[in-house]
Amino acid sequence: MNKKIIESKRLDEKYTVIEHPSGLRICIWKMEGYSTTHALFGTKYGSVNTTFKTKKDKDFITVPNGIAHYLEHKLFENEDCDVFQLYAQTGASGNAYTSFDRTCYLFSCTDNFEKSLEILLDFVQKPYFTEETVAKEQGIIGQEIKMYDDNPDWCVFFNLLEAVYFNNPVKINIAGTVETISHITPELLYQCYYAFYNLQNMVLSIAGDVDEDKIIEICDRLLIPNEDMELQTVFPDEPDEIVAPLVRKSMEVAVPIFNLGYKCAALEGREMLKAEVETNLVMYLLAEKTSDFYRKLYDEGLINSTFSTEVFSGEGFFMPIFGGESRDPEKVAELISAEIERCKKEGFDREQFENAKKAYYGSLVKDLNSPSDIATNMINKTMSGLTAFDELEIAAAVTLEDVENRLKAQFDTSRGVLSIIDPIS
Amino acid sequence: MSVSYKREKICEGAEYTEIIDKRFKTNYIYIHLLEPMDRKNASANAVIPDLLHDSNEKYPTITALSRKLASLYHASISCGVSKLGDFQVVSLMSGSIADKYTIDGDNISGEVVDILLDCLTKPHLENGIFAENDFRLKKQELLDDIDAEINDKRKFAVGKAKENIYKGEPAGIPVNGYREDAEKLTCADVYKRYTELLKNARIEVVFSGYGIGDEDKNKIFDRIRALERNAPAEYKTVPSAKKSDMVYVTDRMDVNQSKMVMAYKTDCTSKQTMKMLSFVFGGTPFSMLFENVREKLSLCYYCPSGYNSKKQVLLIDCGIEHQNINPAREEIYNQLELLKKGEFTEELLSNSKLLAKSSLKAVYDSPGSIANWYLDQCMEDNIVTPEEEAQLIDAVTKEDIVAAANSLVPDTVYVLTGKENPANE
Repeated sequence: MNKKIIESKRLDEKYTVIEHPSGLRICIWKMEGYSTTHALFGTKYGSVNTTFKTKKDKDFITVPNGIAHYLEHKLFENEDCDVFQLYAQTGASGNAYTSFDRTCYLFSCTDNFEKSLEILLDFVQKPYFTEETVAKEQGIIGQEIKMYDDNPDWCVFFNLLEAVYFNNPVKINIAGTVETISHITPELLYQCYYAFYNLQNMVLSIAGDVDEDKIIEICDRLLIPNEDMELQTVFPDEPDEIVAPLVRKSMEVAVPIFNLGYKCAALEGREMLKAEVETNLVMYLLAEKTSDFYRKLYDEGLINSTFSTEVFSGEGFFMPIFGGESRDPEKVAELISAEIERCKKEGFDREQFENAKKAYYGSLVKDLNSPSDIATNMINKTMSGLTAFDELEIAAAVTLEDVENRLKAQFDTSRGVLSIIDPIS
Repeated sequence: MSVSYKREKICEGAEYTEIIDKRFKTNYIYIHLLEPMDRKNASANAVIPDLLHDSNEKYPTITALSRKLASLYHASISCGVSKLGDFQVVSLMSGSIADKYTIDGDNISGEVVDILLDCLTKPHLENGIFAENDFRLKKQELLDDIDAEINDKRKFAVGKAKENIYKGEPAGIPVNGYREDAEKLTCADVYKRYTELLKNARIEVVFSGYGIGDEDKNKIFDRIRALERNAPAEYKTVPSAKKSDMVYVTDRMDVNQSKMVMAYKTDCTSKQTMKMLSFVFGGTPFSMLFENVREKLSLCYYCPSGYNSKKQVLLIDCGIEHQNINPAREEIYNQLELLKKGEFTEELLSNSKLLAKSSLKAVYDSPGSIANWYLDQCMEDNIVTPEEEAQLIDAVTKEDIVAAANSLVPDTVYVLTGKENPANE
């Protein structure tokens, strides 16, 4: 068993990464004095992984949209009972989520951590799907999908993705549609499960006042080694161009809502993390409250406090997005693109850059307060082949030149897409 | 656990609560101004914190203050307005990393305290009142916030239901007030309201985090003592009045999914009994409503119950297919009848207690949750610690819950549904 200590001298913090013989990577961050322990058991499998092949398949297969999320729901039911009933006996609070490229099962507890860990490891490794239980979930997930269909923030974002990407499966709603999930069968769920829920493709992440040796003992006992399925996933080719520069829809909202994204090439691993840090700083310098540009948009009543920026990134996708409410989203989009072009020519102010860097660094330190933040950060970074401290180190070392180069490379205004949700007139 | 808790009187009607915990890397200071919810002041009170938090006399613009805060490692001054029972709570908060964690050991706490206090007591003024342009923008933002309540359909439905549940009571007034009142606000009136608020509101300052020096703490005391103050009027939240007949309300909108909110009122004065009743009934993923309305009948994705101890109201809300409004309501009635007859297991109660006690322990693990705990407690006759609350929860029996269930009086059924669907009756 290979054990590595990952340390940050800057923060005086450390955690352990264990390469378990089963193939599972286990991250443990001991947080002395904390009552809560947070644990996540996750796989690199999300809504984008719709086409794949294992050594047992002759050809690549394509499965219905939304199946990763469906599988997440169904794994909570084992042969004898519901997993929530098991957690109920330990006092742990269990949950799960599916994103574009991850599925994670988690719990938080203050007592009976070891028993709860046994429940987590056991149910995620024991799928049980029948025609009846699969059919039952369609009503529940159908209502989850409809709930999101009424959410304008969700709709403005997925409309943006539809207008940015021709083929990239990231544009597909994570839960699929009522129609696509109607094609899901127990056989398909098993096929996806055995392809992606392989311990070599998974990470266990734990933060809290825990005993490392006991965790290893439980893992030794409960992890079921599985053969390498030689999983291959494919992503369709995606052109550099955008589908359409503008997409709009009317919904029950008071003020128009917008998302403005600039299509970029996808990145991986450390390169992606560096790009995320630099792109966040570009957006901070361009349009955070500290900038004159924000003040101009705000004073003209073009944006309000809902205005925000984010870097949307993961396996096969990377895009800076500006969003919020505006009475004139097209004007805001036009001004943001003009400001990007101006900054490309004139560069950023050095003092503002130094402050932005400190601010970003400070926000990363603030994120290290709770077991849930820490465990989530560890699993995300480990799945990307990184450490939980890499972002902090990249942020501490970033230069003005890096950020200016990123602006030039990542903000192509000819590839800007504006998505608007208008009020129903 | 190395947590220290202290409560001190600053001056008449102003208290300081201090929770120091060296596990945290951050410091948070919350200044809450509490007044009984009153329609004539509600909208002005809602706009005041927004006017205070992003500028002050020394840093008179959002840009100047944001730049200063960025240089203090992304320190933040944020604000909020909320309801606590029959009170409106106007809040201003600072958040910053502790001096120990700055890159070069910079001392930033003192500056953050100064900025927060300046925002509260030395706002940016022009001609003796708030700057007219700032006011115009903030007023528009308040109107947008009021209008945007329809964006989140679940929240909208719960808000509308509460207007009916608490009809004629302070708690029934929306936290931002009504649009027609907000439209009439003038800059001079709002400034006058601000001076009255500082003079008359009950002030609760809560510090939560790694710790600040005595000098900084003394500044908080000195600046609040220097305010011209009247002793706040004695005022307490009262339980919501019961209706003689259940009220049915239906609103229609262009929505994909219907929302239903049901309310019951009780005379039961044991907060812990009612909390456990709510956990057993619908407050957990192993509760009666989750098990039956969601899992067995697949009628919805969410259907939780929650209890407002200050108003003694039990609330259930769910998102359902339009045609399933009646079946869902019938099943909720059915489960309530079973609860009244005591047809639930001791195991369900003991598991509910386990989860409740676990979340009480976890209160200590984030600076925000422990600060909120004590804000909530300071409205009660006796302040209890999370440990004491856990003991009270342990003492709740099945008989207590059955008696409390039989005290529930149906109050309101609110439905938000599509334009063409049958009415709620």
